[in-house]
Amino acid sequence: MKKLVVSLLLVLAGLSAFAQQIPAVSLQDGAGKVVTTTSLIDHKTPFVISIWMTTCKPCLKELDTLSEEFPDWDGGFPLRIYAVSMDDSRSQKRAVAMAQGRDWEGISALFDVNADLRRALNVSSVPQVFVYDKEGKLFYTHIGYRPGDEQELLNQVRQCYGK
Amino acid sequence: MLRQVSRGLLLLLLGALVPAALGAQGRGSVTGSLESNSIYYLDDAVIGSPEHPWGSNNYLKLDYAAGGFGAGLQAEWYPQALAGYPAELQGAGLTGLYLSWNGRLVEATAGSFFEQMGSGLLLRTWEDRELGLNNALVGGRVSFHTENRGLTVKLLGGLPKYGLWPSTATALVGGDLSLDLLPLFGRESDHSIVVEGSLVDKFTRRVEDDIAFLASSGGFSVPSSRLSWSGRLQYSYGGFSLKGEYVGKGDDFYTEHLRHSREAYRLKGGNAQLVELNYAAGSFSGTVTFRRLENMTDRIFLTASSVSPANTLNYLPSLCMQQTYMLAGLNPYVTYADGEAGFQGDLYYTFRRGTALGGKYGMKLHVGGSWIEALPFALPDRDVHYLAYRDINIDLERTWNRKFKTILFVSIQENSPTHGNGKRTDAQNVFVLDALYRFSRTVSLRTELQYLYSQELTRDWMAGLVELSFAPHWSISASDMYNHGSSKVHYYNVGASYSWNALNVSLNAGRTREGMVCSGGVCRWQPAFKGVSLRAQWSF
Repeated sequence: MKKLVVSLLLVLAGLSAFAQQIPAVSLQDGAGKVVTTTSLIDHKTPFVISIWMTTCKPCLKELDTLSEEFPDWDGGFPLRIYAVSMDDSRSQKRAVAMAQGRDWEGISALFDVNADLRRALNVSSVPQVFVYDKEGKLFYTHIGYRPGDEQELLNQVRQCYGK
Repeated sequence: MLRQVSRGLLLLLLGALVPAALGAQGRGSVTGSLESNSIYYLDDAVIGSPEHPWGSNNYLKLDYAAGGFGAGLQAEWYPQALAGYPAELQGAGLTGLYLSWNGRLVEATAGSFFEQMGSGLLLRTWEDRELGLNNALVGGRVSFHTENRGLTVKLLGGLPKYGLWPSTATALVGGDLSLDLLPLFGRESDHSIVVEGSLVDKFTRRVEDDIAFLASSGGFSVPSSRLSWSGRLQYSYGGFSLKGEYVGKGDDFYTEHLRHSREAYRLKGGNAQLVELNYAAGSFSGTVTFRRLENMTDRIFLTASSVSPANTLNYLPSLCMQQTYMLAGLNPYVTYADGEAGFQGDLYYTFRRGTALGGKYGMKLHVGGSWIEALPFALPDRDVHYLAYRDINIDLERTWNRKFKTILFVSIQENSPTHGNGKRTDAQNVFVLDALYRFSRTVSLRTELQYLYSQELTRDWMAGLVELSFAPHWSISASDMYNHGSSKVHYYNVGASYSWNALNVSLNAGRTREGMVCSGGVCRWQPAFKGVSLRAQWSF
């Protein structure tokens, strides 16, 4: 049985070593217009996707903190953060209202209405952040939020730009 | 036992090998996740113990993509499901096999897929691991859209999954049409008008328990085919949007509530209406929702397994705020699908930084509330509607400086546990102070102080939480909920959590209170337990 466990973990660890391209998924903006994930690739700068929900308090804390950090951003290139809500039809309108009413400076709100991005990225708990490089390759990901995680995230964005 | 464990692991391993081989050859990309939740239950003379001494729910999901082609699987393994999870979750199975093609104008899926039409009142299949629910359709789906997405047509058919396998008791065939009018007619505009419609035909084959139940209720008969439909209209411009939806359900089984707690059964159609209004400008936004339901329960099985949360085909979430603080979510409202109507509204406003009230970092205010009435035809007296649920929620968040942040939360709730059938309501008022202090850029302390005041049910409660975090990897926490107004029972917990990139592991020990775990109008009963739980999640 030990062999089976070790084999399974090795196979999965091997899979995690491959740089993943951002999956092509259609999202919506606050007005309901379709925004594809591939359109976020600008071939110049990295970008951050933060997966959140209206009922996830750590998610809100992370986005609030990133918004507070935004005016002090010193990376020398535009910081692009996309907050993608996983809220379903029950709270999707609430997510749209919350994203606007919380006044997240520097953060663009998108909505994963049919959970397509959630499934494609295999997100099993929130918050989870993803840093993609200028070509849409995954550079860094992190599950959960603790106060201070935003510093590590912004460091990763800088490293991704300079790689 | 050992053989069962080996078989489960072997299944997970085999599931991982094929996509791993493809990914390793550089042909496309592989993503996936692994999740394991296990609890060892301890004896507790005060709150009781589950029947089995341990439980474990395990999930592996893998997706392979190359160009427009995709394939994937989900393997689930329940050597002994966690206490309170549906009985049908036992053993191991490949529960989510699919092949898909995502072309420029055509998308097609064969195998397992999730689907939602409109807001889900008509049809929704989804997965919720907290509930033990995965009612994915197993069959096929094809959709076509025009270049500018002005027209989208979708056709589908399949069997809903129940437990680890598709159920042959019910089959669904449906179609959905969406017209985004302005792009469709080649006009570019800031206005948006979308017209949509859906049809779903449900074919039912009676299982033994259903047949026995129908015979015992006087030879009552339910049609084996039932057609339902929905029409939707949405208009948006800038920060304003208005959406309306009407759902009509064909004749279906209906339980009439009579006086003296008696029930009668008859055939009756169902319907639902939903109106959503949104407005946003600057740092203000508001949303209002009206919804009315009449006989909108839709199940895979009519009777026997109806207690399982997976026995559902549509989405009827309760029209009120999903509470996140311990005491505020103690007695959640459960949707009364037989007949209810209500409103929910939320207002958000941020006092921006630099203003008198906003200070240096801004202040966020949220005021929300809901009011839901059980409708006369769904109540024994038939002549008057009755309060089912209402609440008012206010939260105020203030960042005082770079080190200190507080949230003040108040929730006033009144709930009829019988949805007005018993004409009794329970009121409770919840007060929360949530404070965060940063000792340094990586070390912080969060505390919650909560109080619930009530003269009904289990009367007064108090709760507290302390969480010390060391970013970006560690956090430890301790909490206690104490029912000092009635049972005098403590529900204490201590825990530690570790995160590294996409790996998260948490270990907790303590008591969990019995109660309803609800989502989307579907609930499962969580028995009380004391135990040690280990949860690991890894996505790649």
